[in-house]
Amino acid sequence: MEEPKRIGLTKEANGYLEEMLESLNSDNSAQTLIKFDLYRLAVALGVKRGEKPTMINGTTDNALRVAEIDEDNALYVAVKAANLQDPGESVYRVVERLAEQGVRNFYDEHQKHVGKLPWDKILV
Amino acid sequence: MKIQTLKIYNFMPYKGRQDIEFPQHETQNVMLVFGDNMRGKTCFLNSLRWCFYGIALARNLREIPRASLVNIDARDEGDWKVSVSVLFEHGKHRYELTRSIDRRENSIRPSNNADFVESLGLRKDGTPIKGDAIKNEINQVMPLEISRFFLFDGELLQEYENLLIEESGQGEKIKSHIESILGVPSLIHAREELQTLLKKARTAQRKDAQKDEDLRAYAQQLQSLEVNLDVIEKNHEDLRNQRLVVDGEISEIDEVLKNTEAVQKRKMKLTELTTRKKNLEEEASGLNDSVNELLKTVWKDVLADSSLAVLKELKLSRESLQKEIERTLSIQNEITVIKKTISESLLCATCGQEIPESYRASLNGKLEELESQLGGSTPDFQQLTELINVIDKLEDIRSEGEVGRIIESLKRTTKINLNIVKVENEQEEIEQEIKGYDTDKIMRQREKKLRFVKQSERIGLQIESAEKQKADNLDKQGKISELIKKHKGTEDRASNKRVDVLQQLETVFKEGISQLRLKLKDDVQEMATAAFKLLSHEETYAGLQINDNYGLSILDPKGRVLDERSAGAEQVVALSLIDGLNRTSGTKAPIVMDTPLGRLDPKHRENILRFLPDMADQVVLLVHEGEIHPERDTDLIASRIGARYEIVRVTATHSKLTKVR
Repeated sequence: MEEPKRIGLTKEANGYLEEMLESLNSDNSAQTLIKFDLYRLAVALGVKRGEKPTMINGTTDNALRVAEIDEDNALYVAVKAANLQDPGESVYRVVERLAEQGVRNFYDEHQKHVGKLPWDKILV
Repeated sequence: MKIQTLKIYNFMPYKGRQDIEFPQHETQNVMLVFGDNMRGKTCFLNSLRWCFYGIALARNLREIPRASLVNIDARDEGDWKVSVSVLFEHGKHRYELTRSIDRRENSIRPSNNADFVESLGLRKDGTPIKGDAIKNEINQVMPLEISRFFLFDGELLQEYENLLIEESGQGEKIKSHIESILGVPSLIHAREELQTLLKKARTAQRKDAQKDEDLRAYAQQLQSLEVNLDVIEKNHEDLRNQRLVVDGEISEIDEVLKNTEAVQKRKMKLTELTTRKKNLEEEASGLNDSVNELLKTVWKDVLADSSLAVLKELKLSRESLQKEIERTLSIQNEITVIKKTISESLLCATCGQEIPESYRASLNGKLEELESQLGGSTPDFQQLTELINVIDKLEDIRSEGEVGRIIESLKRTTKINLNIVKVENEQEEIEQEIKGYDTDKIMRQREKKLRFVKQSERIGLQIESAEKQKADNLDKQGKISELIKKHKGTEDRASNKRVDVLQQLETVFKEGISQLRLKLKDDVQEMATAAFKLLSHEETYAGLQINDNYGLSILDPKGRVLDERSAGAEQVVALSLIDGLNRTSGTKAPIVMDTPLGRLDPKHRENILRFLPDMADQVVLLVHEGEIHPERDTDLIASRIGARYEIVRVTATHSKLTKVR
């Protein structure tokens, strides 16, 4: 199965991601988070859950280069090893689905906690 | 001083006219006034303070403005008059002091002090005292600075600490008033009179000596010393006047600062809170940065954690695959050897003999068996390599414990944020309290006061130097006087005898003042220590030590001064000082105590209750039932209670003093 060179998020999830990044990066933050950081975390948490991600409703923007988001193939190997893909499906499409689902989960929590991400709840 | 009646009209919660009779009995001299919080105990004390000195103090030492002295209900009814009268006896005289305020005619709803007109009247044995003499008369009875020892607010204990700071202007002032009460100034004035007379006598002596040729040289020296003395005295007086002006400035600032003391403290607290908040915010921001930094790599920690189970399985697979490959290779190797043996020769390679047919048949059998075990499988090196790669990759996902570190940082951030909220609440509270005060101006006044204090200290040193010069000059004058007096033929001169007598008298008074001061301090220390030992339940304390300002320090069993003392100990020491002063001066004044037992443990409370009735001719205790239980605790002093009042709530803004029979 040929792997895609670019993956991304739906327009809606992208909006969520940007909104969350804005609240995470306050004006006086010396350490600024970028899309990649939450994207990778969303995937990793999906792997941790060990459940196959839901299908994406709509199209993604393919805005992220696989070589950049997963330069040492760690996501690829972990997703593949977790055996989360459907038969015949490429690993990075599963990565993309995990990210989409994860970002949406983050956003739900973000909304519930009035613009804050409850990392203690999300990570543990 | 002994108070007979107190008449209050519209003073704070006491609406309308209320008359309170103080106990007059010699032993039943305690008056208990019970009242819940916010009913008017402090207002009762303030009514007395205001009547005598025109000042009513709030808990934070802030002066209560006149408009707030008027009962709220009365002013809503249009009655803005407030008046307090005290009928008292002092030194066999009978006094009636009345202070009242009312709104000015043109002021409809007064808000500033200037909107009121104040009148003060004093009758001494029925004769009215003139306006400007009233203050002096009150000061004779009880100066304002001393009143703090008699109109005692348990909540304002920090006032007494001023006495312990020997350099403080406030302490100096209180000291001079304490000495007034103890009678030192009469001796000082007498000595000053004698010095004036002595000066005149020396001039007369010098004039007589001038007539005598033998003594003319002495007379000239005396004249020169007289001129010198005049210069020194003029300089001394100028310096004293300068210091009076500077001290006056300090007092004026003190007056302003006294009323804003609480505001100053709160302002300083506010500055401290602002710094604290800034530090907390910086810490929180640092933690936020560290969380963000950890969030960049936390995905690896999550992956590493979740890959552990997969890794375990993959490693088992790798082991099994490796074993399978080893087994296949071993069988293949054996098959190769057998095939070679069968196909290459009929002779044994070792002994050269022909291999028997039966042995060849067994080799063929073994070959079939091995080929069957192999079952056509070949070693899958590619699968093994892939498996090893995956394992290596998964093992490469390094965790730095990011999740745990993030959780820790968040816990710390939560604590910090809680502290920030607390600080903000406190800041808001303080800002509300000091709203309306120009705190920058207050702080400038403090700095100005410090400059004046330093100036006063410098002048003080110059005064000391002038006094030394004066003493040296007088000493020289004395010696020459002595030489003139001893000159043959002049011993009987009246001017010589007068100088001699006055000189001796001046010395007696000088010594007397010094000894009196020492004795008074010793007496106050001794009396206060005796009281302290009765009041304190810490029996190992050696006692109290007095300083030059009559401030008292507690001495531990080894005679060392205790640097820090609790509010309860402060209260016990203050009561001991009052008792020491009372007994040493002989001038007795009623003691009125607001919430006197609030900070004390039960044992101290019991000690003080037993002790209080003997502290003064009249003791008024303004208490709530938490301090003194109306039945249980009053048993301790039952035989000493001469009057009992209760502050009864009529409405939230109206209280009434009711005598309890």
